[in-house]
Amino acid sequence: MTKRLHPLAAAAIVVPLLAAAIILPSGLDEAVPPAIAGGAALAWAALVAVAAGWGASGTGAALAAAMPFCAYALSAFSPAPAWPWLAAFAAAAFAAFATAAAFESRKETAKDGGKASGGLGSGVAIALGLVPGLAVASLAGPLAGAAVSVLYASIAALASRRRR
Amino acid sequence: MRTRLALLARLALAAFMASPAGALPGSVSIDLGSPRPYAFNEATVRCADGLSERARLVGTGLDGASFLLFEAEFGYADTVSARYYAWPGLSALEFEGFDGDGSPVTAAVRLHAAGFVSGGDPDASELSSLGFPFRQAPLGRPPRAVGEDGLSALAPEAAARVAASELFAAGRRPFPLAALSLWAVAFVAAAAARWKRGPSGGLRAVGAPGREREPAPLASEAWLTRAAIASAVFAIALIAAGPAPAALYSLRLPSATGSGSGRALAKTERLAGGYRSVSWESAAGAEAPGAPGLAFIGVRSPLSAAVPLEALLRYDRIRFKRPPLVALDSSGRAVLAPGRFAMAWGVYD
Repeated sequence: MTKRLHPLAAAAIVVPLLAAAIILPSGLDEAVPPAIAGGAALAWAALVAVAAGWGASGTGAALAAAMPFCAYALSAFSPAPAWPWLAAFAAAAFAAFATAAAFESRKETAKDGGKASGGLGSGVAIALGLVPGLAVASLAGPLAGAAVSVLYASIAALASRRRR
Repeated sequence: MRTRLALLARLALAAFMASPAGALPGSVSIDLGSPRPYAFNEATVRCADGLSERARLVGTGLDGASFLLFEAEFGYADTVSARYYAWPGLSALEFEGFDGDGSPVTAAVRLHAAGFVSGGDPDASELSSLGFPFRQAPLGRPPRAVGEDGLSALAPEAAARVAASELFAAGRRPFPLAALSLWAVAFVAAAAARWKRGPSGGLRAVGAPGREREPAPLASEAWLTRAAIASAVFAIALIAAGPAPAALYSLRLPSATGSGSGRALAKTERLAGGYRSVSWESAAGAEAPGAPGLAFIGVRSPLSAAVPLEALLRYDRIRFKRPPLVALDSSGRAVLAPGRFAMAWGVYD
């Protein structure tokens, strides 16, 4: 079984998001909280990455693909200033990628040499990367959330490097 | 000695109470002028010590329901002119704010004591009898014109239902959708290009022979970096494009006597300040803007306070489904505060 970033897999991330952007009007009747507006696109990308069993690099590619959709949703549907929230989501996506990479390196160094990517563990790793920063962003403001995500990503990257 | 001390204490207390710092909430006065129901009115709030920081006006109806009607933040002002919406059931207004020294002050006034007449006006009675439709935001683009015949055959509430579900649509914005489409195509094309190059191009197969213990990444670091940079560029461009402008929709209802004329209600759209004004009216209505009539109005302004009250002054009476909140923008202009889609009936003079 081969797992590569097939063009169809890339399309599976961006086409539904593009379809949603086209179907929805350019402005809603009611504002949507930024965590939901921007989080929907990232959640979809993370879900596809986990369901497809992609590793850290696939997750990173999926989250990168979803970021413009996240930015559009923040700008069009959310009442809060979009720039700080974009920073919070970008930092959270980076933290998710770093956490997934740390999880992958832990599995690589395991004695049994198990599969490095995919599975529930990968999904948990991505969630662990995304959630703390976004939770803090919702509670204490987007810039605080971005700071937490950057800190989280740094710790994950350090752990990953030490294992290697 | 004890009597003298008590006298001194009383004098000191009296002096403190008379000083500006000890001003009581009663020093705030509200001048309502001649308020009218189903209209935006102006209340002038004064305080002996001036007003500062924030001013709020809360309206309470006869049924006990309270609505925030006006809210403004400012530095310091001698008086505050608060624009507020009044409906026939409005019974009292309460002002909440801070005096010039920053102490909280409140004042309340009953509208009926100020000469507020809630009934007896035929326009107000007509508006009171009209209901509001359920709105399901339309997804597509609004039509450029609608047949007047079909609408004039409908009751006003049925015409309003058509307007709310078909005409008052936010539509599409070409730039964000074009940018998103370009990004989607570029991302899939980049993945396809690397796929064609095969494993040597950096997209190595996970689980390929001899590589079980060193799984290949789905995307190389260089590819990921380029994708992240391109993603950031598109994201920044989409944020910079900003949200869709707020919109003020209006449908001037054709009179029943004009049915069968075969004319169309044409859409007139213009960008005015920070909002988009979209109105449907017949050629006759456009030629005679001052002619009496009825209009169904929608305000879509969920993200920004952009629709000024001046835009609604063309209606002699206006009945909102829910009393709107009026705010002041950065230039001190009275605008409708951001909120849910608001529906209203308006009567032309």
